[in-house]
Amino acid sequence: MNNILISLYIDNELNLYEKITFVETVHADQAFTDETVALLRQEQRLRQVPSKCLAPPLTIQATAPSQWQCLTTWLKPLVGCTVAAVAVALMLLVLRPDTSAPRAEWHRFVVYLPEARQPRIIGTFTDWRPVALEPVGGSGYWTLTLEVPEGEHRYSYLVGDDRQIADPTVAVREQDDFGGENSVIEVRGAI
Amino acid sequence: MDEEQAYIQREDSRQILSALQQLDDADRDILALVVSSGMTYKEIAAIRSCTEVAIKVRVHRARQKLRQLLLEEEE
Repeated sequence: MNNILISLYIDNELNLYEKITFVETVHADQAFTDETVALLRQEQRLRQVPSKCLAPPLTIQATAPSQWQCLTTWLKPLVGCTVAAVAVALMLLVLRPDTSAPRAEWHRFVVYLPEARQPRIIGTFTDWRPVALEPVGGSGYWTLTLEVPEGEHRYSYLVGDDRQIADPTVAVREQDDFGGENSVIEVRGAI
Repeated sequence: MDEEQAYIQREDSRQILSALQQLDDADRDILALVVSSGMTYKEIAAIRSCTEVAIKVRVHRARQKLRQLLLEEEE
């Protein structure tokens, strides 16, 4: 069971107690140490692989609308996994102790757009003003964490020459009045 | 990086990718997610609608399977 600590160590997920156990196990168990080193070396090799080759099959190529049209065929391998939800979703904190104030939640939006130069997000929670996403290293992922008020929201991403795409990981979508498509999410204020 | 180093690195990547292809979809996806997205286990658990403990187990299991495949390939 302690072997799981190796992956937690590799991914910087150890808490203080686990760190103690990890170090003690490294000292006491040579097989554990060997596996740790082997998996670290493997990880080093894995991280040298171009990230575009590693990315889960959730690619919306910003410059390839035909692939976007094929998205439905991609959904099958996606189900259950993926970045799928890539989208939305982290309830982190309660923001306002004042219960009369509208509640809100922090959402981290994540999308894989390896070809995009500077994708932006627009939605009801940005008053439909474009807000730039930030790159996650050179991985092709873009992310942004925003405070989103409680309630139903619509949003999409702008890529390339302001081509609008819905979030590929959110199943609920709605056509807008301009021929585009928005993702629809329901935000319940965090407690 | 000189040409030889670049070749070695390409070859190594090819070997890793070949092993990755042999993993089942769930294992390959969870590894790709951890390695290339920069997301924490907690964030991955949220988007995958499962517990953080499940993610811990799946990630480590996927790494071990990959290691086994690479060992078999090298033999």
